[in-house]
Amino acid sequence: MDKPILQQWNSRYLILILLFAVSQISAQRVSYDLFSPHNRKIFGDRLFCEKDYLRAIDEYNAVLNHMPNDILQYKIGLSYFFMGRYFDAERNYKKLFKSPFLSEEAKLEYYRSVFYFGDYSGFREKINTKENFPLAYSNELSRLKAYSYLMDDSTLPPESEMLSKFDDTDKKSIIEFYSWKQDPPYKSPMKAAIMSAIIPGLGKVYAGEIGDGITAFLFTGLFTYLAVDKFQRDQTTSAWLFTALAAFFYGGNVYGSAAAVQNYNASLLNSTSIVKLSYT
Amino acid sequence: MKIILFFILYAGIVSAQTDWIKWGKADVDYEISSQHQRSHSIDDSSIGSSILSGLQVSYAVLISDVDGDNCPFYPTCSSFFVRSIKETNIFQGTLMFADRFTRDSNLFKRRDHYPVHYSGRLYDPTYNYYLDQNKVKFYSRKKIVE
Repeated sequence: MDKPILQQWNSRYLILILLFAVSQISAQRVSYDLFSPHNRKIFGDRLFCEKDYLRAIDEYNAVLNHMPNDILQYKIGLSYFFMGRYFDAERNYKKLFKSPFLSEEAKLEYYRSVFYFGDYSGFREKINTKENFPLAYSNELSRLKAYSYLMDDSTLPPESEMLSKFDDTDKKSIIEFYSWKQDPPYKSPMKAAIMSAIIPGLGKVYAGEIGDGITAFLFTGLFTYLAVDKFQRDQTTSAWLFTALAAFFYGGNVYGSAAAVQNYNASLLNSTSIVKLSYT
Repeated sequence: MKIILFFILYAGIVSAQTDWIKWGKADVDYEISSQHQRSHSIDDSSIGSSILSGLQVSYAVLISDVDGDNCPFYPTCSSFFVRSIKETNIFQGTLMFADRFTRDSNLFKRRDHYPVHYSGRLYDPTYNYYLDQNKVKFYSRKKIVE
């Protein structure tokens, strides 16, 4: 009697082992395609998160060659934007204008790319003509349009019209930039020259070049002291040499102070880096 | 015959030997090698140009080439001096140079005050110092000037 049971157990045991072995073997035989669109998308997302935008674009484009994907197209546009390649970003976003669920966002990012490209008058013209205008984000674009007036030399609109686009948290800084833009805090080159004539280097400090001002003061002071000292010792040759050097640096300091203020004023005319953009 | 063969063999072995030059510690040279070939020609278009270019070449040969390519600015101070005199006059050019020399001697941090030229130096052109506001050009510190 034991023998048939034993045989039964043996055969069951054998079947279990066989099943286990087959499952192990079949699990090993699953092929893993590293370059499948799915894997490339995952890799692209990883690169995007790590801000390796150029390689992320390559991966996304490889996926898009297999199947259209609006999200990936959008992320390609974002990648170009983050790299500062605004023209390429614009080109990518244009492909999504007819997208069923990303059209408005693509249009918004398109306008944002045009803004960051720096053609502010062109940007305002596009907004005025309502060309591919995202209605869902009209407030954001109105704010961007207001910002664009602060970024170039065009005539500023009335203050009330500017401020109406912004909420109370932003109004204070906008008023500040608006006043700064209307009446930039220019400095006077003549004043800087006179200050440097009285105290060498002071005009440079007035222009914001503190290091240069201290250096000019030290040079002029040192050679003046040496000249006076030599004259007191009746060493006229070296005294006149040091006098010439002192005059050289003194003249350069007065001239340079006026030039430094002119450079400062030019930076005010062109500086757009202080305009901070808050974007929702 | 054997002697000739021996001599040929010996000569070959001797000429192959190079290890009689002793290896020793090499002196480290921190001099920055010049990135560009300087022109040492004299500009003989006028007496003033001749004197000016002569001074520049003398400085280049006697001091600058020996000292190394150390000027942090583009154009270099000697080039700035020559250009400023050519573009203005001797008096204004000398004042511009005096100011440039002072700024070059500035020991304090100054990288933020100048744009960067593609050569890696700080861009400081002469036209920003003519005391003519219309000619002053501001360059963004974030971009490289070509």
